[in-house]
Amino acid sequence: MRLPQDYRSLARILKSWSIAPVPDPSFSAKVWRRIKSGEGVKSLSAYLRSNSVLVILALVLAIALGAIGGWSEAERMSNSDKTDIAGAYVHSLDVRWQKAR
Amino acid sequence: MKYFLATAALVLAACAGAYGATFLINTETQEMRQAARDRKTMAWLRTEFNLNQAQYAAIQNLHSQFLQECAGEAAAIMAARQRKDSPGEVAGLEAACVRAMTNHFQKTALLMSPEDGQRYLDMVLPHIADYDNRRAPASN
Repeated sequence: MRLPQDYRSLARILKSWSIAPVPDPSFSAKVWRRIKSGEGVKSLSAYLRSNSVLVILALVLAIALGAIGGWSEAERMSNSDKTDIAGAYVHSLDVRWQKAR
Repeated sequence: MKYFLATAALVLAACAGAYGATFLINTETQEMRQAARDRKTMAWLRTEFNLNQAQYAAIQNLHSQFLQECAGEAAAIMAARQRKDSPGEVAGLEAACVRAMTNHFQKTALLMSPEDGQRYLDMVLPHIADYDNRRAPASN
């Protein structure tokens, strides 16, 4: 390939260019460090397994609290409904209400 | 940190699930709410106090008799109010009504099992005072 005049000098320079890289003394250590840090990345299941005691404890506690909360709320609503309906029942038999309405 | 948040979300979901499940399992609440919404007082009475068919029929009969007997008292109370009789006279008629009602509830309780009868009285008798309690602010 014929190069234009301007590029011939560039080609000569490139031909004569040599690189002598200086070896990084910490290259090997850096590679091992990266490998080790890569090993530290766990999957979710591995995370859960490694913290299984805490996770199970938290789940048991959460389920117990949720169950107690749900049950007591249901009881509270049930008692409130009972009071309302007992009142309606008495009022249906109380002639003072019937005539006052 | 990402997994910690995911775990926390899992724990919260378990808590919410347990809450919802126990709330829904409590069928008494659902039945009670339906009865309260529909104002089905006799249906509630039957369920709440475990009445069998015979007890339920006897109580319905007793209620009908009571309302018939009370019709005269109700008319007397209304007439006294319309005539603007003295508050003492109206109160006397209303007191007689309260006595009759208390007596009626006690008779009704006797038709139930002893435990249910006592529970019935504990639940209904306080509501007799509702009338006075609700009228009180208006009379001021």
